Amino acid sequence: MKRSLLIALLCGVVWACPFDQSLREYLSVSFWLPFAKSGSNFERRNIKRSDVAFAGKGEVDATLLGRLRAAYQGDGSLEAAIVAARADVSLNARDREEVELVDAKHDMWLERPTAKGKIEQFLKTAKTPEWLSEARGWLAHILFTEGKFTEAGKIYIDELNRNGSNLSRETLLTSLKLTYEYDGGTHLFTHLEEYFDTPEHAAFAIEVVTNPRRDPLPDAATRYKRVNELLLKHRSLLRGTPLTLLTMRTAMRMGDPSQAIKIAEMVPTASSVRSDPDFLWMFGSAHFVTRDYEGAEAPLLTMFQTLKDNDDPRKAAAAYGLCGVYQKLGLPVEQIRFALWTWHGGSFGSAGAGVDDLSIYWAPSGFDLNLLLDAEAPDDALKQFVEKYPNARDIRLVKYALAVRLARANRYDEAAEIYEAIGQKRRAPRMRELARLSAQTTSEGKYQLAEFLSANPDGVFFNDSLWYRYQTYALIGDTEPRFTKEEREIQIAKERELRDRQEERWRAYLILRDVMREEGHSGLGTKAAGLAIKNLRKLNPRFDREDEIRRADIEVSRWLRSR
Amino acid sequence: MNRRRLLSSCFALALVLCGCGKAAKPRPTEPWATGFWVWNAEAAAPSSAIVDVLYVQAPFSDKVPKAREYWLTFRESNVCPNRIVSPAGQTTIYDPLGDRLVTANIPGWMDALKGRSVRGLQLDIDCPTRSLVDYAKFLAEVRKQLPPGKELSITALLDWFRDGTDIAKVIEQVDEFVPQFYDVGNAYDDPVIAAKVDAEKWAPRFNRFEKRYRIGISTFGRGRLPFSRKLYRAIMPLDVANDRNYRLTSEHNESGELVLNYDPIQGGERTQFIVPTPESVRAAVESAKKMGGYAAGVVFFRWPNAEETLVMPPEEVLGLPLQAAALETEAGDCVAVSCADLYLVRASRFTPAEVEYRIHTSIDIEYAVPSELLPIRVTSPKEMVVRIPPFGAKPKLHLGRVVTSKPAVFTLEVR
Repeated sequence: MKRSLLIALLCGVVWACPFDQSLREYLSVSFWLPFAKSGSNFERRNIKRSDVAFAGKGEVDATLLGRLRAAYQGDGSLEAAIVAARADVSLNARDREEVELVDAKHDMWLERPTAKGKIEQFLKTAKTPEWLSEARGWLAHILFTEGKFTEAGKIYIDELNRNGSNLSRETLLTSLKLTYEYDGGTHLFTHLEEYFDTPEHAAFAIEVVTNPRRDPLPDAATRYKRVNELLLKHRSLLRGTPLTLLTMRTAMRMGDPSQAIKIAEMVPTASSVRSDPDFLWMFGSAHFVTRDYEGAEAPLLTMFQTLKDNDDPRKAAAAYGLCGVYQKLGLPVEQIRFALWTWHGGSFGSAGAGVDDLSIYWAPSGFDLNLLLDAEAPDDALKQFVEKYPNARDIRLVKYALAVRLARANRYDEAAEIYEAIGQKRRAPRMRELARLSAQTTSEGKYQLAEFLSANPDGVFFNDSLWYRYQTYALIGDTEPRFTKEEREIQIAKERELRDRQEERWRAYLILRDVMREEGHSGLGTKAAGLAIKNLRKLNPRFDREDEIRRADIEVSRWLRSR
Repeated sequence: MNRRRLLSSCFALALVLCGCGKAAKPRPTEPWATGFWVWNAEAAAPSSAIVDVLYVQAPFSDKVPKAREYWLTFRESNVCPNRIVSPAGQTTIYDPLGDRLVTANIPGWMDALKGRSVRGLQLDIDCPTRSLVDYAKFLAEVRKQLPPGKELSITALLDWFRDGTDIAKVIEQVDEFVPQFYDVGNAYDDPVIAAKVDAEKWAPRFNRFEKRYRIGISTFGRGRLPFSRKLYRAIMPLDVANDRNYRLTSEHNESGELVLNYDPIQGGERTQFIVPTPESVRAAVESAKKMGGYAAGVVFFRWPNAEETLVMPPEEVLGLPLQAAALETEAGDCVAVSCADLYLVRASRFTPAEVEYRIHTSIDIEYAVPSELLPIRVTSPKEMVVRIPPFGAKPKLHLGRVVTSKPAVFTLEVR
């Protein structure tokens, strides 16, 4: 039983957390598309909703209205109860409206064609706000079942922001989700102009229909030409901020970032639109995709700084976008700053949970930061970062990476100091011991150094705080097609360098080879050769130098045989 | 005549009129038809060919290729109806995998026929020869439930037609049968798929039933590991063709199919592919035409799915001109550069010699990331070369991703 539960739990975890190897998503066009929008993005703040039992769902008592409610809830004949309640002269206007609404709902549940007419009539005559909002909800439900999604959707949009509505927020958001799914599909596009009756409907329709997709729509050009035409035709309806944002959004979605920049530049400097996160995102995106990386920096930085809530996924998007900006501008210190911010909490996605709801794709693997700290950023950049941002969140990770780099450069004492400062109780003494061993110049001393390295695979030059088994999936510079030629060549070289420098066993082999050469077929030389072979044969496959390893193995083996 | 007798007579008459009675003798003059089985209508490869007849495995789909006549085929592989449970009229089928009896879904089959402009229902059930009597009873049950105007067809194993079997009882229940001239041996042991269509041998055996029949001919191939007796569905010649550790030899088997043997140079097991050739298929069709009598066409197994390599495209089967190879490009999702995935489509299949394609670009290539199986090489700033190894083509080959500073136009040159 326990085992089954464990397996079920494991399956659940695996299902919930599929292995992710996303990397450098800011080099993808799709990352820079406008944010996806759904019902909740159109909610106004401070809407006060009612929470009254729906018609027929209230308290059941001995009165005729109480019996009607009982019948509606399944106890007795509802039709008889409706007739009886209608005849009750003691009912006030509100109660009478409840009876009529129950009657209409009864028809609706029985799928009688009379239901819709009754609800429409009710909406014309009733006065009680909670019954009215409920009736609007049922009318939308009927319209939805009739396939009249536009009419249904508009009711849901209005009700979402109506003070006093008795329809819950969750109900309305779910209804909008069911009606429009992700981007409204063909139906929304076909009926787009019908939404230009109010600014709210139009804004909703345009935002949803321009939701980003990773795979381009086959008729994208036609679609967005149509959206632009409608925006132009109805520009008087959407004056000011909404029009600016919608036209920018449409231009970005159409693949016309230059147009988005033109629209943005026309916005007066003092306009509040300029501080809107959507505006800043699209302005920054438009610059990035037109390869004006410098131009992308300011809007994204403003966006990052003005969004105060660290859990706001838009802030995470800005931070990740800035990683891209600084990668392109060759500013690794700033790139580390934003990669680190985004990584916070041991997972790259955790700082911006929900960011993939906004953007087409996200890079939760953490590979961006890992590569930056372990290979891409120069050693000096790590040092400068520590000096410039000593209080950065997760600074310990950068310090650890710097210590690993120092160890790779045989600067063991400096590495030890950093490890000691961040409380690394295993690595720090290891570095001190390495400092002692590496100071020895005798063959015996070299052998001891190699022996120590052999005994500590992944414990000296390998950064175990960044990688856990999946490093090879991140070292894909040779197959990465989003680099420029120059970037690609640099990346391939850096990845090769990392593979070479992080393997304790390879370093041990190189030292032992020297000992063999120095000592010849003496006892120490033979011992060194034996250990060299052991190291070669235990080298981690991530080292990826099969031919060299084979050649070295053959060479040492022959050397041993040639005694 | 009392009321009950009158009703019974009307009912019997209606049965005859609607074709639900015993199968009527077909016209031996039915024109020769060329058809295919379609095993996955949703994924069927696109083709401009319009064939006479398609036997479409259920479920039917609107994406089914164009034909003048359709049948709906239900396949119960490796099972056989072996008992009729009266009075409910339900028929059971033995399912050897589950070692159990299951109810045949005859009502489901009939429902699928309704409202479809198909000529009839075809059952593809490979019953053991010893069970043909039960199969005949089962077919009689199916026939009773056929909607008016619909015909019943079956596929047939060649073994059913040897002397002393109950095949006549089976054929009596159907309007058409389709003997399958493939996989008559053991697919695990024999390097052959197609069986020789010997008109002299088979025509008398088929024509004696005075029922329309069409000859089933294979147009599919397969990969196998002959020594460990494993069949491969996913592996293609290209998967090993560029591997320098394998040496290729080719031969033709007794049915004229091409047999490709990839032998590892340093130990290991042979990978073998058996593929049909235009010549082997044409020979089978010519032999089928010599059957005469009630022979009314051929049915090829099968229509390929899009991107399927080892199944012959309909044009090749039908001897129609093949469309030229072409280059397809798909824009990649790159911000800082322009990147495009290149695909070579309709490259010559099973060409015994290496074929070289050159790809020219309108602007300089920054670099290319070749696909794993087919190394594309940048030979000059505006040219790339890809060599398809012998027998290595696929209907759609991913060549790799090409990176340029601005969007480029790619053109293909065949050498």
